[in-house]
Amino acid sequence: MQIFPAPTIGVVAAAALIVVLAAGVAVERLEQTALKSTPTAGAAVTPPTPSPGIQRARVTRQESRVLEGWKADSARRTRMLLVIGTALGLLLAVGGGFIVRAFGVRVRAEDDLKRQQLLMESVFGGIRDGVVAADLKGKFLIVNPAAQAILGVEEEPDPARWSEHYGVFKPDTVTPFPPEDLPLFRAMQGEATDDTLMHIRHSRLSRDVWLSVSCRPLRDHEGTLCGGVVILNDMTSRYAAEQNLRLSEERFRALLESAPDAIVIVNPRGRIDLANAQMESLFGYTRPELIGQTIDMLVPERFRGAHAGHRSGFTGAPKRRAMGEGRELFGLRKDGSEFPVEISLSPMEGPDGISVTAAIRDVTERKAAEHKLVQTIAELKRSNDELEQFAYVTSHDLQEPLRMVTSYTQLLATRYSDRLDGDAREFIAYAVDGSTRMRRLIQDLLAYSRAGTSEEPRGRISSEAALTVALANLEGAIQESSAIVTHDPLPTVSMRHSQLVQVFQNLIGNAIKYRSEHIPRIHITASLHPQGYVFSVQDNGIGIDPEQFQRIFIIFQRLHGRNAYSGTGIGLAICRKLVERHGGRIWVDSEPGQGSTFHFALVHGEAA
Amino acid sequence: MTTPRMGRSAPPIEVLLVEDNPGDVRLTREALRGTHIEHELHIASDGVEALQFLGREGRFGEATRPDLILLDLNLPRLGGRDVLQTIKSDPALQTIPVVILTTSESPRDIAQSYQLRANCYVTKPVDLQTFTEVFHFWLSIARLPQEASS
Repeated sequence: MQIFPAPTIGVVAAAALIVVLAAGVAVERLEQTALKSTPTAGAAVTPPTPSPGIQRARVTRQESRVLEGWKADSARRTRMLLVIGTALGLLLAVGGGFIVRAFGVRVRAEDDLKRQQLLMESVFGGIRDGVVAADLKGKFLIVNPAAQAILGVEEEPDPARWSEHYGVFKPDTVTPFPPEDLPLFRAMQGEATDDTLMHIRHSRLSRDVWLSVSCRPLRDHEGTLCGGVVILNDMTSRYAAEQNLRLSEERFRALLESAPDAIVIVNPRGRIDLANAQMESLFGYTRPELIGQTIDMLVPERFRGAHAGHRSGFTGAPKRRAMGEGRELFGLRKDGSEFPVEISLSPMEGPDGISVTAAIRDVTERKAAEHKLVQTIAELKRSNDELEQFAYVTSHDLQEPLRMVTSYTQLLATRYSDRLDGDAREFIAYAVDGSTRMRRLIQDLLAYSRAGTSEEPRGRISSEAALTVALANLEGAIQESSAIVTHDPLPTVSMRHSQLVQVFQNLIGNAIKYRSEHIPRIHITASLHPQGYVFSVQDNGIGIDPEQFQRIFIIFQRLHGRNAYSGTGIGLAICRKLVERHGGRIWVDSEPGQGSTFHFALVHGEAA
Repeated sequence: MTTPRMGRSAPPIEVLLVEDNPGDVRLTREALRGTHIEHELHIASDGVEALQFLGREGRFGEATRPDLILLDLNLPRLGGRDVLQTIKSDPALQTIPVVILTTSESPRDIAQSYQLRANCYVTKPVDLQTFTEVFHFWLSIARLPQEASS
C-alpha cells in the first residue's frame, strides 16, 4: 500500500496545513475588519486557529455564547467565517488528497482523510445552527444534522425549486420566498448577506420554523467562486416569545381601549404613564396632554392636598380596592367642570416603585338615579304616612260632630221621653242607630289606618302563644257558640305578637260569626314551605262564593245584609294589611255550604 | 245622687272648663248637672283665656281659683298641652287637679298628658251617662285640695 515515501505525504499534509493556516489568517483579518465595525463584540471574539482541537473548543465556547444570547452578531459572523475557513481548508485538503491520489500517493492519505472527515462531522454535528454548503450547481456538499432537522426532506438539486421544496416563506408567512433571493443561492452568486428572516412551513415538520439566515460564498484556493454556505439560526422559540409578547401587548391595548371605564396608569412619582381613549372622552384632555402630567390635574383643587396623602397611604399599603370608600369622589374635566366618579385602584410593583392602575367611572347618571330613587322612596313614604295620617285624622275628627249628634239625640230621648209621641221616638231611634253605625265605621277606619303602625319590634315569636291569646280574647264568642277550636303544633315565626294575635282573632272570630247550623269546628294548622310558613284556619261554616274571594279582603266590603250579620267588613281587610306588612299574603279556599279555609303565608324573617 | 262628703252649706265646687266647642260645653254642663252636686262652672274658650282666668287678668279680674280644671287638648290660639304645662309649673296653680277631656284616643296624647302631670285623662264619652259618672267621681268621690295660697 505504501507507494509513496513518508516525506512526500508529509509535504502534502504540511501544504494542506499551510493552506488551512493561511485561510485561518485570512479569516482573522477579515474578522478584525468586522470588529472595527462592531466594536462592542470585540471582547468576545477569539481568533480562529488551524488546530482542530482548539477549533473545537472555540466552537464549544461559541455554543455557550449562542446560549447566552442570539444578538452577538459578530460572534455569529466569526463562527460563520470559521466554518467557511474550515470548509475551504477541507476542500483544499480533499483537493490535495486528489492530487496526491492523481500522483498515486495513496499511502496513509486515506487514513488522514478519514480522520479529517470524522473531525468535520463532529464539529458540524455539535453546532446547533444549521450549516448547508452547496457547490455552484446547487449540490449540497455539507448538510449538518441541525440543518437536516430543519429542512427535513430529501435533497432537491434544482435551486429554482428550493423555496417550494423546503417550504420557505417570507416573514409574512404566506408569500413564497423568491428562489433567487434565497441566501444560499445568493452566496452561490458570490454575495454575502446576514440575518435574513424566513418562515419554514412544511408538512414534514411538526411545527413552523423561523430562521435567521446568513450566507457567504465559497471560493477555492485561487479565489474562484465554487459554491455557497449558509448558517441557519433557528429563531422559532425566540420569535414565538416575541410574538406572544406582541400578542399580549395587543391584548392589553385592546382591553384597555375596549374597557368601559377610563383607565390611567400612574407611576411612582404620581405622573400619568398611560391613559386609554375613555380617559380622553371623560376628562376632555388628549392623551399627549395627559401623559407625563401629575394625576392631580384630574382632581378638583379642594381635594388635592388630601389626595396626595391618600396616594402615599395607598402605595404604603397597596392592595386592590375601591378608592375612597364611603367618600364622594369627583373628577375635574379640562373645562373645569366636576363630575362624581367611582375609582378602583390596583397596585403594580415596578423596578422604581409602585405604579397604580386606576379605573375611573363616571357615576353622574347612577348618582342621579340613586338620588331619584331615594327621593321617590321618601315621597312614597311621605305620601303613605300622609295617607295614614289622613285616615287617622279624618276618622278622629269625624267622631267629634258625630258625638254631638249622638249625645244630643240621646239627651233629647231621655229628657223629653214623656213629651214625645211614637213617631218622634222612631225617628230618634233611627238617628241614634245611624250615628251609632257611623261611629262604628269611623272606629274601624281608625283601627285599619292604625293597623301595622305598632312600634312593637318585629321578632321571633311563638305563633301558638299568639293563638292562645286570640282564643282568650274570643272566649265569650266561643262559649256562646259552643265552638270547638283545635290546632296542630304551631311554629315560631317572625312577626309582631300583637298583630298575629289580631289576625288569628279576626279569622277565628269570622269562622264563629259565619257559622252554619252545625256546631262550629275550627282547626288551625301550619305547614313549612321554602319561603316560610303557611297557616290555615279551617272552619265548617257557611262558606264563600269563589266570586267573592277577592272582595272580602277589601275594607267595608260585606257579603251579607246588616240584619244577618253585624260588622262593618273591616276584619279581613286588617288581616290582609297586617300579613302584607310582613311580606306575606292571605287568601281563601271555600265553597258555599262546605266551610272555608283561610290561609296566610308568613315569609321567613331575617332570623329564620 | 247623694253628697256624703259635704253638707248643703258647703261652698260650691268651682270648676273651670276650657273648651271651644259650645256643643261640648253644653253637654258638660248637662253631665255636671246630672251629678246633683253643687258646683259653679266657669268657661274659657281657648288656652289664652284659660291662663287669663287663672291669672285673674283682663275681664277675669274677679275670677275665683278653681277647685278642678277640665281641659280639652285641641284648643285655638294656645293648645291644651301648653296650658297644662303652665299650670303644673306654677307653684300657685300646680295643686289644682286637671282632668284632660278630649276626643283623642292616641296613646301618645295619653302618655304625654301624664308626663305633663295631668291628674286624669278621659276620652269624651259618647253617652251622657258615662260623662256624668266621670264628674261624679271627681266632684264627690275624689278629695280635692283646699286652696293652698292666694
